[in-house]
Amino acid sequence: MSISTNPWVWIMGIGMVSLFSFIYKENAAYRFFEHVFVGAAAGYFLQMNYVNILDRAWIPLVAKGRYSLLIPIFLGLLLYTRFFKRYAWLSRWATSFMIGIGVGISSFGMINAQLIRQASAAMMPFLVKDKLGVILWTRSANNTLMILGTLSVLVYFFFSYTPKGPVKEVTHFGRWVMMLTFGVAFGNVVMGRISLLLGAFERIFGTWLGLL
Amino acid sequence: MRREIPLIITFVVGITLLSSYFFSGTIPGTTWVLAKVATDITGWGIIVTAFAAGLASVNLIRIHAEKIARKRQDWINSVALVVSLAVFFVVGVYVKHYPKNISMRTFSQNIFDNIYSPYGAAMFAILGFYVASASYRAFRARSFEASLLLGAAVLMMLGSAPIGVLLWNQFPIISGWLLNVVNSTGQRGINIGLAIGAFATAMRLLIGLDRGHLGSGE
Repeated sequence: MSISTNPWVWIMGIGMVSLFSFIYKENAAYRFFEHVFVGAAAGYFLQMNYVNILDRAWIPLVAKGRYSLLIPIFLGLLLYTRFFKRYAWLSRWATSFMIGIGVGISSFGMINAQLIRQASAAMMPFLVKDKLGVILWTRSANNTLMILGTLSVLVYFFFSYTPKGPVKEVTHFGRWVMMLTFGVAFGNVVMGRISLLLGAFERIFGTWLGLL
Repeated sequence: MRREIPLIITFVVGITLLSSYFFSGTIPGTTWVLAKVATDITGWGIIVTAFAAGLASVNLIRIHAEKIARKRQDWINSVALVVSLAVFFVVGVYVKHYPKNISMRTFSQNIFDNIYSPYGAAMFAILGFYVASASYRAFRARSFEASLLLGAAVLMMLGSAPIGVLLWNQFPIISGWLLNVVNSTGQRGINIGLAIGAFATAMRLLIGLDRGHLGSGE
C-alpha cells in the first residue's frame, strides 16, 4: 500500500496525530483540533435535534393539524427566556416539565428493573442439584457467594446504623466484593479504550500512511 | 407563583406517567386515555429536550463569539469551533431538506467519516492512556482492598487479550468467572442500593421537597 492521496484522509490523519500529540504535551495543534471536534459534535447534535423538532413537532402540527404539539413548542421556547433577566423565571416551566418526565419514567423503571428484578434474581438456591439429586458443588459455591455478596454490599450501604462486631465484618466483605467489581469494570474500560486506540492506529498507519 | 407553577407541572407530569404503569382506561372525569396521554407527554419531552439542545448550542456560540470579538487568547480556536459547528449543522439541515443532492450528501458523509468519527475515537483513545496512568497512581497495592481491585483488573485484561491465553489458557475462564459471578454480585448490590436512592430522590422531586432544579431566587 502507499500513502493516501485523498484530501479527506489527510484531514483525518493530521487531526488524529495532532490529537494524539496531547499524550506528550498539550500544544496549539491539539487545542485547535480539539475545538474542531467539539464544534463538530455540537453541530451534529444540534442538527439531530433540529430534525427531531421538525419531524416530531413542526410537520405533524402544520401538515396534520395536531395542535396539542403547540404545548411542547411553547415550553421549548420558554427555555430561551433565560436570555432575558426579567422573564428568566419562565424557563423553570420547561425544566420542571422535563424533570416531571424523568421522575415519572425513572421511578417506575428503577423499582421494576433495578430493585424487583435484581432482588428476585438474587433469590437463588444455596445448594444446586442435578436431575439425579447430585449436588453441583461449583454452582452451589457460586450461588452462595452471590447471595452473601449481594447481602453484604447492601449491609455496607446501610448508613443508618454504625456497624459494630460481626456486622462490621460483613461490611468488610461487602467492600471486598465491590473492589473486585470495580476492578472488573476498570479492566473492561481499559480494554475498550485499547480497542479504540488500535482502531485509531489502523486509520493513521493503514488508511492514511499506507504502512499496514 | 413563580415557584408553585413549576412544582405543579412536575407533580402532574410525574404522577400521570407513573400512573400509566399501574392503571389503564381513561383519566377520571375526562375522555382522555391514560396510556395515550402518557405516550404524548413522553413525545413532548423529546421536543422540549431538542429545544434545550438548541439552548446549549446558543450558549456555546455566545461564549466563543465573545472570545472572537474581543480577540482573547487562542481566539483562532474559537473560530475553528464556530465554523465546524456551523458546517455540521448547515450541511445536516441541507441534506435533510434536499436528500437528493448527491454532492452534498457525499460531503456530509465525508465530514462525518473523516472528522467527527475519527476525532471522537482519538479523543476517547487518549483517555485510555490517562486511565492507565491515573489508575497506577490511585490503585497501587497499598492496602488489601486496592490489591483486590488491581488483581481483578489485571486478570480481566489478561483474560480478554490474546497474550493472556498464550501465557495460561485458564485466564479467560478466570476472567469469565469474575465477570459473571463476582461482578454480577457487586453490581446487583450496588444497583439495588441505587434504585432505592433514585426512587427516594424521585419522590422528593415529585412532592416538591427537592427544589434544586428551580435554582435560587424568585
